[in-house]
Amino acid sequence: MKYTHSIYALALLLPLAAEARPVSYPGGWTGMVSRDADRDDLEVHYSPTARYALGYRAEYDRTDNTTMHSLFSNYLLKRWNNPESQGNIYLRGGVGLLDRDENTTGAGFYGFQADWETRQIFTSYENTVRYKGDDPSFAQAARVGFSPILTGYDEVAPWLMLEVKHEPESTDPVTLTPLLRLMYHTTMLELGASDQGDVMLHLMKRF
Amino acid sequence: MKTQFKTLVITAAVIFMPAASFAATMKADISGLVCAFCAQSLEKVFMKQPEVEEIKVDLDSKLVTIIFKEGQVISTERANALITDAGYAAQNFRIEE
Repeated sequence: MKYTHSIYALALLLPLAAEARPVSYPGGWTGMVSRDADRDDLEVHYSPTARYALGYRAEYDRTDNTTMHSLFSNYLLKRWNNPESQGNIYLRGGVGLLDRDENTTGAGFYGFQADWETRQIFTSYENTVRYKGDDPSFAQAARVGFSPILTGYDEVAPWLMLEVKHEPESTDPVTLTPLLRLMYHTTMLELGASDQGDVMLHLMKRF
Repeated sequence: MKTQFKTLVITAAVIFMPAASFAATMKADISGLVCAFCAQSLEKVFMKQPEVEEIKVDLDSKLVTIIFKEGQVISTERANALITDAGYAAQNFRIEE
């Protein structure tokens, strides 16, 4: 292994698909697989309390043929429980190892996520500072969503969402992705296609 | 205070009248209950408690109903702590036989 840079507050391969509930219920495990225009990733995290989660992520970036393995933590900084809505602020951070061209370097990330939702309206914003062995890069995304029908506890809940992603260093800095989110009990599935024709898939399961 | 008195009466009944077994229920209004995916945390947390038989969540009324096993019950303080630990806020606890 070769470390070419020391690890400081960095940034990494964290897909910007806003994760529904970065922290689970106490004692809960969460597994996720994702694919978007640039990356494939697998993530597992455990929530000792409803306040924070610890996890592992493996991610392959197709744009530069790099693979990242990282340990991370999500922290629920603040939650507002209102009669008809809920708001959340999360902080995230992690460190890992990046494999590129048979070299391994240190890397990491930190980020912020906020969301507010009712039973039929969803809004979120997140940003991430990434470091992959060179200059840090910044990316952010926002989502708005609407559930056309009110569903009961044991029904599949459909959501229509639009994600706007902004990556200043990218050749296409702004990407729009309409997507369909389906939620049923402890399973969430997201399917979308960006305005650049890239498919997005996100599957999450809580245990 | 009223709810605590009710809890005491039901608990005393459980202890001193074994022949008259019954399944108590506890209801509470929940804040922040906006989706079933999220509310699964309530089910997971309460179903780990040995006293709990079943839990029902009503997203329309924001009401959670905890059905206890016969002859068993938990205090409202403990129920409130469990709901808080699950990430929600609760009010207006009431126990029904």
